[in-house]
Amino acid sequence: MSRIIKEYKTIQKQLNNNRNNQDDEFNNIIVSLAPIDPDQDLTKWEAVIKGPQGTPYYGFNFILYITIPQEYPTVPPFFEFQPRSMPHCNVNYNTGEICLDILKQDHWTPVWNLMSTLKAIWLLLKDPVPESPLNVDLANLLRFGDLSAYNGLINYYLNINVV
Amino acid sequence: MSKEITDTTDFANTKLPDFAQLDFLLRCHICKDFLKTPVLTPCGHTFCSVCIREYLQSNSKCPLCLLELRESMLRSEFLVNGIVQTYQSLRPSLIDILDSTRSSNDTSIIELGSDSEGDSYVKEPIDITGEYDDDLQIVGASNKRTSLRSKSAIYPSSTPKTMNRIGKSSSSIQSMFKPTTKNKNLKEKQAQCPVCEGFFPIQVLERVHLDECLTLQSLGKKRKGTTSSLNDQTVSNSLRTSRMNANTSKRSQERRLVTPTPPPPLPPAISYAEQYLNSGRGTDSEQRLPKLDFSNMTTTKIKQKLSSLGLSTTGTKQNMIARYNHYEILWNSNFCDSLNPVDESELRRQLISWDAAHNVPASSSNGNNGGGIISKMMVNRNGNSKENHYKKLLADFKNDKFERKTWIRLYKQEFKLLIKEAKEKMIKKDAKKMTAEKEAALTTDLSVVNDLGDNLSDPDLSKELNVQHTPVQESTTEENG
Repeated sequence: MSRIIKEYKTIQKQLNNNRNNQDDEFNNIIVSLAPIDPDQDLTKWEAVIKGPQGTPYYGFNFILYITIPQEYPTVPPFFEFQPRSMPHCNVNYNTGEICLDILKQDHWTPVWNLMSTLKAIWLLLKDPVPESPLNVDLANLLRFGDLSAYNGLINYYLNINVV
Repeated sequence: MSKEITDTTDFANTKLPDFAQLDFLLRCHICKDFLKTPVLTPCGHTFCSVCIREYLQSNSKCPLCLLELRESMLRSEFLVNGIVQTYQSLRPSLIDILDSTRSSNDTSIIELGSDSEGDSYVKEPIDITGEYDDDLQIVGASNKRTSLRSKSAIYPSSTPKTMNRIGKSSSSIQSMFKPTTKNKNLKEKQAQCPVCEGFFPIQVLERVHLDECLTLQSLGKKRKGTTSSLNDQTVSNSLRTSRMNANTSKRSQERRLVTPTPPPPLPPAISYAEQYLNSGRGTDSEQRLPKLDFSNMTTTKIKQKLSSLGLSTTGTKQNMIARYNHYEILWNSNFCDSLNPVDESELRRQLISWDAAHNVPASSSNGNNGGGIISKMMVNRNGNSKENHYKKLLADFKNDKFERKTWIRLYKQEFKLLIKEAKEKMIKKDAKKMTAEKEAALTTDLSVVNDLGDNLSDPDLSKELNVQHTPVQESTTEENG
């Protein structure tokens, strides 16, 4: 737990510093990253990230829920998108589950932290991996190179959420 | 968490933002804090001893490069340990000095070089650098300071105030370094006396000084008849002080006074450099605690093992296994890796607080009465008048600074409530027992409970009270039967 307190302070500082500093590529992708109830519970976090430029996600913000297990950082934190908000071939649309190797015990190492994991998820939005899909429809479109259909479908999903 | 949470971004607004890199490098990648008792992996990575051992219980690879790694491969790194400790003690003043928002510091740094008064201050480390540049202490202290100062002068922050000073300060840099080069040139023609460690021209040393020095040494031994029985360090110290040359003896004293802290604060009680030089002694005096194969052990056997180590045997088998495993980590990291190991009782104390935070038996989280109260105590504090006080206390719960007495006073009511509850519960349970023994049982119970009440001066114990609810009763019933 002491590590999560430490990370919380670091994240607060970093996010504050980043607002005044536009150099880093990642500086502007994280809108917020904080515990939902900082006074009571540091195991439930909420993050908001921006869709990467050059992808159909650009212009949208996405909410992620993070659960920190007791054994953190030996075991990975649990990241998931807000259910029914993220059309992505490595994200289960209905549950928000994310398929990313570093979030699994075998590939997770304590060297990662919440910030770097969030960046990894952001990079996943940029570079989807259709080889291990949780959203088969999108993965198939991507695998067969039908980018217009792929982008169109993502746009459709994103826009029904807006309405 | 009593100490302030430090972070690499602390350097972001200072004159040397790149210092964040050093700050980053001296941190453990698992706990993200400064390395505590660092150990080295065969793949060349360094972690806190406790952190990596804990991690290796569930994984057998290096967290950084994912290469195979087992606990037996870890080697302690005394040098890194010294570096980190030195850096940690220097860090606050370092940030203070480098803080670009404070202009008063700004001027003081420049003035050091240009002012004639400041010269003496600057001279000191340079003097030492020239004279003892093969000495470890310099790596820790003076060199860092000198290079730091010069760097901050070469790359001043972009405030116009400092920009104006560049010309002045760069010339002062030269003046700062002149003595060093001069000293180094001199040193080439000089040699160190093996006896008094002072530098003298080779000819003088060979012809006159060595004899003098040796005579002085024998005199020194005679004068202080007991010194011969003392170790080398003391002998050389007494020698140094007994030297005739007032100037050199003063310098040697200075040298001994050089500690890794900058001049303004007082030198720390222990020199990290000395600690490093004396490292490696007695590291194998204590036995390594072995790994146990719990799959073949019965609960009673585990209990025996735990109590032979003086550990609590409460909770389920899983709890006990986890407790032993964590104790093994603490033990091995303390006695095998640490330079100054702490006592076993301190380890047990650390284990108890770890237990309370990580290893709560299933029974108390399942709505056991006592457990409920304790957790209520923790939660309900918020919004209460005691809130701040409680938080401050709780922050130290896991370390040495925890104030037991204040804690007890704060929770007097709750502890009383717990005792009352325990009493009631015991009475209730006994009521179900044979009516014939009822009265006798009651008196025993109450005496036990009263004993417990007396023991409540120990918060760990009172904490265990909720954990141990069932065992306590068991022991009472055993007494009855």
